[in-house]
Amino acid sequence: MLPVYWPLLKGGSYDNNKKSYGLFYNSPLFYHSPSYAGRDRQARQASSEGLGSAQPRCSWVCERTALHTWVFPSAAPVGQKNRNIYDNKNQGGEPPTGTLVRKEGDPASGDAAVDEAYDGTGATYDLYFDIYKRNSIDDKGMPLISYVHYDVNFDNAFWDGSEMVYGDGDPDIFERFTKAIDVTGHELTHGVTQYEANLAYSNQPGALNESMSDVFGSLVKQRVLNQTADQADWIIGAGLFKPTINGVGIRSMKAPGTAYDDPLLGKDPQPAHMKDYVKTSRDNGGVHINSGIPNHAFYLAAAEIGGYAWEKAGNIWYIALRDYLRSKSNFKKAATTTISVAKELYGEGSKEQKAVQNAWKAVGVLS
Amino acid sequence: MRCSLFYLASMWHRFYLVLFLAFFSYLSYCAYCNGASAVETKNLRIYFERTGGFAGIRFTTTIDTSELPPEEAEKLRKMVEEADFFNLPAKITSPSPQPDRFQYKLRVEEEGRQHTVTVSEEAMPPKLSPLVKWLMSAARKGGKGADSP
Ligand SMILES: [Zn+2]
Repeated sequence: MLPVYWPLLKGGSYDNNKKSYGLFYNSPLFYHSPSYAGRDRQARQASSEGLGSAQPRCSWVCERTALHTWVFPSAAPVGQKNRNIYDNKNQGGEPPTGTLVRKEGDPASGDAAVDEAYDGTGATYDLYFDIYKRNSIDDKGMPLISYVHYDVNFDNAFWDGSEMVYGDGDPDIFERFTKAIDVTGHELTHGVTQYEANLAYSNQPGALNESMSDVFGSLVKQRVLNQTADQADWIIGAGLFKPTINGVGIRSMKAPGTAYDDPLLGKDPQPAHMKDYVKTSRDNGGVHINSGIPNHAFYLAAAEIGGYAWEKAGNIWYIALRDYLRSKSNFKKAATTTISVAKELYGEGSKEQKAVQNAWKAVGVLS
Repeated sequence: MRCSLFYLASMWHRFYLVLFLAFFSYLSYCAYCNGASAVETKNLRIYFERTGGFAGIRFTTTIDTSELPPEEAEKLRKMVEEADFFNLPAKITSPSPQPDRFQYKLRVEEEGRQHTVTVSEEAMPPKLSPLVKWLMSAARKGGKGADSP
């Protein structure tokens, strides 16, 4: 059975709240306005101190935001997850089809992919809500919809703009993609990025988009495992390769370029420093390759700050993503932004600010 | 210039020239013969590449139907035909690109013609999908992986 808001999700009127801001949102005048980010942030701080997240983000779109919330009352109460797992039964499809096999509150289904998607989206929701006071992907309690068993031999997972989709892997290289909880955190974060900085999916903004997904994906895993920065493995997609493949995972944030080296796959091509930035037209300008640079910067900052990475480093990155980064932001913009957020949150010359600054210098984004 | 050189050449040279021309026309006649017989079996050479995806690992393969068992070669030819490959646009992309999706590049060479198509997974024409799936399973088995970015 499909939920009642299904046509809205599919129709696209619900799928991106930025669209509801109308013509102005994508106008350079609007999002490059220095006062916009500040106002946005103030509104959000007020909202997170107050009741919840339904506050307007910007004074001159209040009515539209309110109307939007009123017209589509699918949002769950604040802090309440609304997970729906669908079984695609290897049918594929654009967009995917499937039957609802586990909804919020249902007991475990016994199907590993279904239950991993359920638990993974739950852990991701919890990180965003408990730590960053964010109510789901859109910060308005949007339901978390996942499709599992997608297509045949499908060695991938993706966010299609309104839902998460996972394949079962293939006979030779990949396991099912729900197996690694950070994959779920990664995909869901693509949704968060879409609703916030909306980083363009190519070249440096695209690699930043990818890196944000790896950062919060890894933080979901670290929080579930209760690991501090020095205890975490900082591997993205550990356990996704079949045992025959020589690799610990898909990417390493601690040591980019070292995750795998196998005759079938070649060697992990990620750089850890700007001097090794890969210029290519493939993969939207190497978004899954050059993400190694900002990934490593996050790791270095978190390691230097110490403790649980989601608490301080994660908070700095989250606020940068939510309030300051925009669709064309490059690595340098991410560097200066995270440094100034660290200063705002922890003080000028604080240990945290210095750690962030050192990190971006170490990867060659700042000199 | 050329004419004068030709007239300056000795009888022997002229003899060799005639011999060469005769040999060359024989060769091209043969090529024509082979070509004519190949029209029935349509020898295909296919280059395939998949990039992107969550893992961002590149897979490639090159297939020559003359090196395949006849029934596999026939299957592949049929998939190329059913995809209407030579009439597909060179770039098939989605108006709203999705993160972590695959991108494919296919080049098919047939006698006398070749065509290259790049296609985003989310915009895949259903008629092209079986060919891409077949090529990807070949790439996965003998994949060269991320040999160069
Ligand atoms: Zn991604």
